[in-house]
Amino acid sequence: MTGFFWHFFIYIILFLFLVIMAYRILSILRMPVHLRWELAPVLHDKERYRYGGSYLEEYEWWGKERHKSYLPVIAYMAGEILLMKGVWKNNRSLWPFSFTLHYGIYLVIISVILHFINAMFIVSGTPAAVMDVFRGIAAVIGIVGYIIGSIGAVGLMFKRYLDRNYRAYSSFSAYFKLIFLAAIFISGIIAWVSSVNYATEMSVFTRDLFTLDSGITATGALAAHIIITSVFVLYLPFTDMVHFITKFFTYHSVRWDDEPQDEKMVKKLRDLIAQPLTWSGPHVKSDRGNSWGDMVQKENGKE
Amino acid sequence: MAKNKPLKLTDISREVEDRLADIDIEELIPLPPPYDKNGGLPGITQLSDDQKQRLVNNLDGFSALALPKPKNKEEEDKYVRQFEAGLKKLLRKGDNWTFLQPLLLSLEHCVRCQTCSEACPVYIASGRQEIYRPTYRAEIFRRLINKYAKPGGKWLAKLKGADIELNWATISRLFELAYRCNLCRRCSQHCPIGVDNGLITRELRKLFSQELGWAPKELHEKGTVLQLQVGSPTGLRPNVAKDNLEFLDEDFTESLGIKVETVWDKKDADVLLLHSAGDILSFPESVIGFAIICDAAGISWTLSSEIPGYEGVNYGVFYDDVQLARVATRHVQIARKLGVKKIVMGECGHEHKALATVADRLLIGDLNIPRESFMTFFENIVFSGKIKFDPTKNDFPVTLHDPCNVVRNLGIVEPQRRILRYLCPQFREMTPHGVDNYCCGGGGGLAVMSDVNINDFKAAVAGRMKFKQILEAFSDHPGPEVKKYLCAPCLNCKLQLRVIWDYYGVQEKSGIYFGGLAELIVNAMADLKKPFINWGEM
Ligand code: SF4
Ligand code: SF4
Repeated sequence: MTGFFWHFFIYIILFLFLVIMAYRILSILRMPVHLRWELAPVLHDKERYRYGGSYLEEYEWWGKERHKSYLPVIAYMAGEILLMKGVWKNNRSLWPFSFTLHYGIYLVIISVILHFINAMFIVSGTPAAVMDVFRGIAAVIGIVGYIIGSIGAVGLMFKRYLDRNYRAYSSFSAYFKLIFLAAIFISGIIAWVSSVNYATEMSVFTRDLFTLDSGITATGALAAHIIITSVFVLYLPFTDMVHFITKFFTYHSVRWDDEPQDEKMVKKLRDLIAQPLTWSGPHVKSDRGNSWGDMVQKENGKE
Repeated sequence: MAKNKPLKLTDISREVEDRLADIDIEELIPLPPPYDKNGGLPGITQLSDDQKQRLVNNLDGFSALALPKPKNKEEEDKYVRQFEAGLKKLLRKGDNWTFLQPLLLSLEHCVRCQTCSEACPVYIASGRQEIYRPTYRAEIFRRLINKYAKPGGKWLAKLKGADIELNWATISRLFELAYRCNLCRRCSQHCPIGVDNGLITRELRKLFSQELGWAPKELHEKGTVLQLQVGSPTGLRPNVAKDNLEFLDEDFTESLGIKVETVWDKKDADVLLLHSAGDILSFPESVIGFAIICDAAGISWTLSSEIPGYEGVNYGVFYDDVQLARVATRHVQIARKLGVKKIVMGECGHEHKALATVADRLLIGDLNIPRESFMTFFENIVFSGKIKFDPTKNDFPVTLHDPCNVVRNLGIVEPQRRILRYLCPQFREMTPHGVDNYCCGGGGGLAVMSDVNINDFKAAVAGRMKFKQILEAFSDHPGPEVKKYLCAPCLNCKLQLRVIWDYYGVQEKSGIYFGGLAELIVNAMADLKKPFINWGEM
């Protein structure tokens, strides 16, 4: 396929991906302030985080200054993203597949970034020797990513199917997701092997994509690989794989949200507790038009 | 591995009378001697024929809720419709702003990696019964929400192969299953994504309570409702509470040879002590211990005799946001009326969780009275130099149980340990401990639930990991000849331990006694002529 098909196809998908992701993130951000539900260890609690302690360990904590540190938070997140430490510690038999799948994805993303850099080099007329080095790196990273990603995706598929701990919980969509990922990696391997110079082809394709060059072309295995990967990008925001972003909220907005009420929060809370309840349980007494405020402020609990 | 045949998620909606699992005591994880031979133990009580006739019994052979069988199909359908309405309300801002964000984050991002399963003491102790896996109930609930509460859900459920039918069997099983979880959140702690199966279970309980009016009677009618009406789920009315304590004051004054006097309703005291009435009735040494410590340290303190100011429990935290808000509000209103500077939360874990954190964003404006844990309150006193201690008085093996609601949920870990390391020469930790602890098996309200045969579940299954680690902590003195002290600074944990103790005969076989933290502090007071810990009466 050649010409503007690729521009339309890829830019529309990227646009939709960004819009859907933004929508998902905004809808999380716009949710009302919730009741506290923190869970130790809260890692921003300086020093005490080591054993899971919190500021509530201070005598008359409300009069004390709070000491927060974000280094442990960053170290924790890095350990999770780069090493999948939690799975290593608590679910060792899953780790090899989870790790390889994630690293497959990371390496493919890195290779895409390198293709982009190479595209810039082509546009700017960077000396061939420099470009060769970068293309070589991109080619190696790409193929390693495809291979270990395939191992991870196929391994997880088998694990889901063969291990009784997973089988009952694996719906068609769980397999579909893994099949899709495996298709990206395997089509990547085929494209890589069947191309004379995979990295150069990808760099030129990327350049043509960014410069809106109507001569853009990709055929055969490479075209199939690009199409599968692009469709996956569109599919991703509708799945639980968005945890690469939303994990931030499960941690920061719930587990580690240990903020006592403050003035700004109280303003929002006043609006929330003024809302009527519609629960039908007899003790809620929603038929009397009770709001949260009625219960909280007017001793409505008394029969 | 469990002998029951592999369970599918869709089994939850299969024929009503059919049990999903049978719990065989031989399949549970083994305990250290002398509890390794199941023969000498009570086993699991089966439901009587009459109970089988009357009650829903389609889950695991236990009944926590004594749910009567519906009279006819219309009644079944009515409940199913209500449940479906409740699923929708859980996703509405107005009805569920309190937990909407945490709930949706947990519902939408589980990757079914099962990392949480190995963290769950109930699942592990049961010999890995599928039915108790943290994700079993959570995944069913997630699929029901996706199918019945979201637009296009029914169509998508089919497409994704995640279709579970909502019928009477589903909801009656889910109701019981919601009370096979201690809400201890150990699973949540281990989830790499941050999904909280404990929260999902609580939301499920909440739906049943707030929409269908279904809740364990010990938590609702005889729990929060009774507390708001007469003062305490124990039924203890203010005048009786005062009489009881007056009697206890006299009793301890006589036996200890020091003046013990409970202060009631003192205006403008610095501290309102918020005990649990269950302590007054079942573990009075704890309440008296607080009085002795406060007086010795010269604290200006008081108890309240107003309904429910002498009862710190708040079962709402286990099952219902509305009741949670009502009880917490009453507690702080009483403190405000008395004009105290702060509330000190007594030895009750879920009281801590309710007042210190969960209700914090409900108690706004002048309801926001400072609230402090007894752990930090005691630590401040013990290390202030106001009281002289002689730690040799506590020279017996001591270990510490970490109540989930204080430790894992609030991060109060070290103050109690600093006290024990100072006052108890033979203090030793359990493995694991601190924020990695195991629940006592009474968490999530189970401690006060005792209907039908649920006590057997609490002792044999839910409390098994805890019991095992307690025995292991004292493995250097396994027999009854050396008296050992398990410090369990939480009323509900102590109530659950009592169930375990009775079931296994722990005191006689192992010589382990349990009590709170206040007792150990008072026992180590140098000026006290007689021992405060009275092994014979524990
Ligand atoms: S709750 Fe967390 S640990 Fe458990 S299966 Fe889901 S993602 Fe994995
Ligand atoms: S909250 Fe505790 S008891 Fe409940 S599923 Fe999680 S680990 Fe198990």
